[in-house]
Amino acid sequence: MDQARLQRLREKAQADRWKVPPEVFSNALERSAEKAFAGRTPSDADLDRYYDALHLPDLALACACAMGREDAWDHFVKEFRPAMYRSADAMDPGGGARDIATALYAELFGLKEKDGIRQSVFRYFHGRSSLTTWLRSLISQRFVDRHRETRRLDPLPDESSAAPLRASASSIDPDRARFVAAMRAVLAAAIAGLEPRDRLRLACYYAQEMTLAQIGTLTREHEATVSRQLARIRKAIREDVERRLREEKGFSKVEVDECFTSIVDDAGNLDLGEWLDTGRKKSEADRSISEELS
Amino acid sequence: MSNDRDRILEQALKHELRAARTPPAGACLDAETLAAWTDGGLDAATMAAAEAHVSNCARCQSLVGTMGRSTSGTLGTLGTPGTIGTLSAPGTLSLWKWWLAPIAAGVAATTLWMVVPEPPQLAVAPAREQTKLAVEQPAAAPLDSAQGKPEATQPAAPSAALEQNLPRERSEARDNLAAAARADRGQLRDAAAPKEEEAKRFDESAAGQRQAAAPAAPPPPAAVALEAPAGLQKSARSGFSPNSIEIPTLDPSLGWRIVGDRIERSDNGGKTWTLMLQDRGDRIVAGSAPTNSVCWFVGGAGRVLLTVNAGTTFVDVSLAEPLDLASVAATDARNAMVFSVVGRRFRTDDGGRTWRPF
Repeated sequence: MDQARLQRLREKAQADRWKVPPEVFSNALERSAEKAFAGRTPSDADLDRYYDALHLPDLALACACAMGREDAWDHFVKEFRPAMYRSADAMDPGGGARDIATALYAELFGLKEKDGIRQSVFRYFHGRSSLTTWLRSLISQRFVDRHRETRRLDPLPDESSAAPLRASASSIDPDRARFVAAMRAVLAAAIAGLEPRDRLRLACYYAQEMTLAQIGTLTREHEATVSRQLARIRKAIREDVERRLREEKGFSKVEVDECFTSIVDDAGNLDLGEWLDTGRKKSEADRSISEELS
Repeated sequence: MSNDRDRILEQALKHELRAARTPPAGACLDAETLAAWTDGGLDAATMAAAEAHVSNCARCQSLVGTMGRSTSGTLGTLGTPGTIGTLSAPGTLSLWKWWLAPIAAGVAATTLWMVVPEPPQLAVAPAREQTKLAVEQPAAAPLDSAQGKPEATQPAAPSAALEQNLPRERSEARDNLAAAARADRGQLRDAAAPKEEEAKRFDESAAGQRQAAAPAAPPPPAAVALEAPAGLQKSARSGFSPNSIEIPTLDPSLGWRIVGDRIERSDNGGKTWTLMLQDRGDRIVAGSAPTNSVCWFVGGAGRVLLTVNAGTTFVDVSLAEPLDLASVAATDARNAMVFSVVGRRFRTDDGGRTWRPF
């Protein structure tokens, strides 16, 4: 790396505060750019813009912690541990994520060695986010994967528990199963036909129950914009569903009504995300899309 | 009917969208990319690729949702559309939320007074714990004696020190909290923080001060084998305990939990719990189970316990210093790191025989 550029970035990162050697910091910057420009060759101007946008002080601190600098670790523990625990508690108010945050310390420190060198997870921090956000992301990843693994190994529920209710409902209306199947098929097709960003908005709102503000943070939109977009998407889906029922399934207006009615009482078997509902505080404050739409 | 259809469609969307299929694992977002996305560190092309993947991937949707919820006190959780609060863009504070700061400070001060323990209770606690230790750990006393430690004076000294320091501790804790409230002004999450959070903060603060005020206690004996009391062991209990700290293992059917100074284990996914050890009263606060049979526990006064046989026996591998420990991270029966409430760190690579600061 160009020495003048490296020196400028080191000063901006306050790398000397943690005694991070130039070659270590240079390697960290190059790894970061390598990941960001994967398969591309950036111009010098692109690189300058990229490096200047990085969270350089956090990157220097991560380098120092990966090297085992005592003062850097003291600073990290003092400044970042409370945020890690707050994030873990926000994920699982029951305390289930705290042990993940704690276990992360071992990985960050690098208890395991390879060829005599400690393997710290800090080497995967590239400065494209703040250190706090990166830690939050690591905890989220481990939390989700642990619960998915746990969920996978859970025994299936006793089939007999829900069977009588289903049998009863079916016996009342023999066409109900047909309408439910048709409705699900056209709904799935309508969702699949959306633009990825629209599908993402829907998934975040309906499946993940994120707030408008949280979705806006992800999509770089104001929450009011997210609200408008969700209203637009749902309107489009409804029109698409009704059209497909009429044109593809050949249903009459009455049958289309029946299709909508048929799924009212059908909880479905598609609750793969429900494990995340445990302990979650439903924030209805900015989830007013249904009111706006009605 | 039109409005009814909208509501029905919302329910159907909820079910349908939860059924998103997960593509091959290699395509999923890594934590660094997700973090960069969250902080706006991705270029347009990379962000579009991330959106396209997440829109179809159940695992990454869960990840994004968990990430979003992990920001405690996210703006918008208190804001309601149609009110002035929602006019704020993500990442900024609305003007009206600043009014919450003095209210929050008042609530914090009130909470503080409610959670400050009374002096007699604190003064008595160490003596009771010491008595309990003598009953439950008969092997510990001779070992202390063999090392030439002043056994008789140990309980009294910390008690006296605590009694003398308590008013100052309370005063300092209140000052600290008031300062923290001032410093936190404008941070919405503090305005909305539950009382438990404030109580926890105070507990940590007070614990740190108690540790600083206490005279150096003799090092605990190394590797003292602890057996669970015969009358208490294998007394299965079922149900959820609201005050317990659960420690998962690699096998979801196995698990540990800490309820005060009790260490319990379940081998049926938490349906029933078996008491494995009633500790001496230094509240156990955290644990780490790197394997199904190995588990490390930490607590107050440098307490570290290790079992390598799924709780049949516990070994006391406590620190020499009576630091209040907050957490432990272990990779196996030999390697572990412990963290004190004030941020001091120790590690061992010999199963707790020696602890080195790092």
